[in-house]
Amino acid sequence: MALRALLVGVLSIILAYASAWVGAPKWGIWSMILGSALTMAAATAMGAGNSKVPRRSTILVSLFLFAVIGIGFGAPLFLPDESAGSVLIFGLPLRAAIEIYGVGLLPLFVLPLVFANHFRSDGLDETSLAELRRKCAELMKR
Amino acid sequence: MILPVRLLLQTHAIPTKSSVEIIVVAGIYFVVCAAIATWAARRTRTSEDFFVAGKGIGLWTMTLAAMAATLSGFIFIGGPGLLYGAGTGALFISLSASITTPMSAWALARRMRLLREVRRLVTVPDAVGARYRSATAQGICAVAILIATIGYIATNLLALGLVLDAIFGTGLRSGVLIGTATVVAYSATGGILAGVYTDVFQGSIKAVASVMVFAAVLRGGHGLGGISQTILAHEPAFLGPWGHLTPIAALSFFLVFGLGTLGQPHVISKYYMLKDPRQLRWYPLLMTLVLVVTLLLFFGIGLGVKAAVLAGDMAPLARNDDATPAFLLQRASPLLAAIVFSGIAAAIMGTVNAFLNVGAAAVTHDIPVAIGRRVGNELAVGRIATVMIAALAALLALRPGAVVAFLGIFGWGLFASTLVPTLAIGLNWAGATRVGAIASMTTGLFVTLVFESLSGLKVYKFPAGVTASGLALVLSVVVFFVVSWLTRDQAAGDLDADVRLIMEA
Repeated sequence: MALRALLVGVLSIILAYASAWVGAPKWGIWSMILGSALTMAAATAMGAGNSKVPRRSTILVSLFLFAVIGIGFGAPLFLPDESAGSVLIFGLPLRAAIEIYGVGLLPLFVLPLVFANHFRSDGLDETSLAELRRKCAELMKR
Repeated sequence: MILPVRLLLQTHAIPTKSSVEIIVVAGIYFVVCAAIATWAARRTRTSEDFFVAGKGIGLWTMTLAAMAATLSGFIFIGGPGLLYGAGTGALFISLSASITTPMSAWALARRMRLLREVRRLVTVPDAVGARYRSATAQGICAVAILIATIGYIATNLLALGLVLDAIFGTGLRSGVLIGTATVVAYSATGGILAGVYTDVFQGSIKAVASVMVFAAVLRGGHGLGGISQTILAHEPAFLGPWGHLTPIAALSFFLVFGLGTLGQPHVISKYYMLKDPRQLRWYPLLMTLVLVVTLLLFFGIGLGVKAAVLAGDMAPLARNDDATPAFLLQRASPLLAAIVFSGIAAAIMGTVNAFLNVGAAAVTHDIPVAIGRRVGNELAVGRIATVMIAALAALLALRPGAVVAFLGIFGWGLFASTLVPTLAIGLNWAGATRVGAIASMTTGLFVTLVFESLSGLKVYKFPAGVTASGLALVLSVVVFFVVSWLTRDQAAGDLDADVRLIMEA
């Protein structure tokens, strides 16, 4: 599933690049936004899923990342231009704030903590590593 | 953070006025680096010590070493300059910083660390060779890495020469030679062991310098709100969602520097080095925090100088890359300027050391393995290869800028298109095949070399937003999937039983 999503995301980005040769229409920008969101979310899901992060958490993290990137880059397309006197969010105009605090900072409070929470230290102590080396050596002898 | 050389290349003198503080602090910095290198050289006795830090390093050391290797001098000079000129869109280079380390750790850390345990792997191309049971794949990967590495080292040595000239008034040529000799001295004697421990020192300087500069920027601009209001009053498009870039150009930065992180050999090779792999639990959190803190300088100076220029508090810059030196000389204390100038040298030297180690490993280990002629004494040959690569890069750095730029441009695209599909996806997908990996790496190599050459020779120009690096990355991923699917009958045979066990562990 994650690999298929990754491929679809990459194809979407190729489509976006192709649109640059025909004047970069708006659908090209959306293709790039959704392709980037899907690719990053899928790459994360691929690694997390194979690292035995519970399925539910893997799906939630991927959806979170897809939403953060998709909304973070998509929402500014619907919002009006800012000018002097515009409301600032933590010191930045709204659209830049959505991108910088949303895409740039928000994942900091989620992804590393999910990683730490579901990190499996089993199999990584000295005894287990020695056992793994023995098993692998046996497998290679066959 | 490594970047396409058009953005990274520092080709003109950095404006400075050497003060006593700058010279003294820079002098202390070089003495400390030399002391660490001497200590590390005494502990480097085997090729494993030289290439993968022997018995391993602690979590903090690994984090700071990875950060020092990731963030080159670009974040101190080119990055703020790019932000000053292009606005918000330039920040897309670093917007993925809070995503990439967890993503990379999930995809690669455990598998690479276990592969090292079982196969005693030394280099990143080793992992490619082990994954696909293929010396050819390992060789292609090593050649791509070597080409990319030499270009990047040359661009960084040129930048180091400019920094030394700015601090000590050495002249560019002598600056490049002195800088090269300094980095080679600790890289060739102490290898990666000297590299990682100098990186701890250098990384700490970078982080401290960034926080201090950010605080100075906020103080001078009446807070981030004051800076934003000044910019909005004069040039609102600067703070628009893409700044002065096109949306696809900004988003392309995000993609290439996000997904492409999975393919940086000088960073992911650090996964081999952690002494106790259970400590990987906290690596993404620490690394992300350190990255974000260090990127404050990039963000702060780019915005702060723009606001100061628009408000008439600073004269307009002659060149965008003058943003950091101009800020330090006009709006920072001499001591802060001294620390940041040392931080710039630290950033460049940390990156050069990491690349020298990766390049020397390709010459000493991977290419000989690929052609079936292993080197007898890898430690001695590794040291010689380090000196040779640095000498070649220094020679290139001293040639006219276009030559350096031409070689350096290949770097990013080659790393990403070679390693993202082949290693990052390949270690997570049992269906990947050797033919798929070779086709993917060849595609990346071909697309990057051909299109960057055509672009460099001004024969062909991509439309705005499309880069050879981005295109090579996405095409190599597609080729990897398609060719692996077409040759799927071979997938099981391309995977050794022990590697399969590790991938499923």
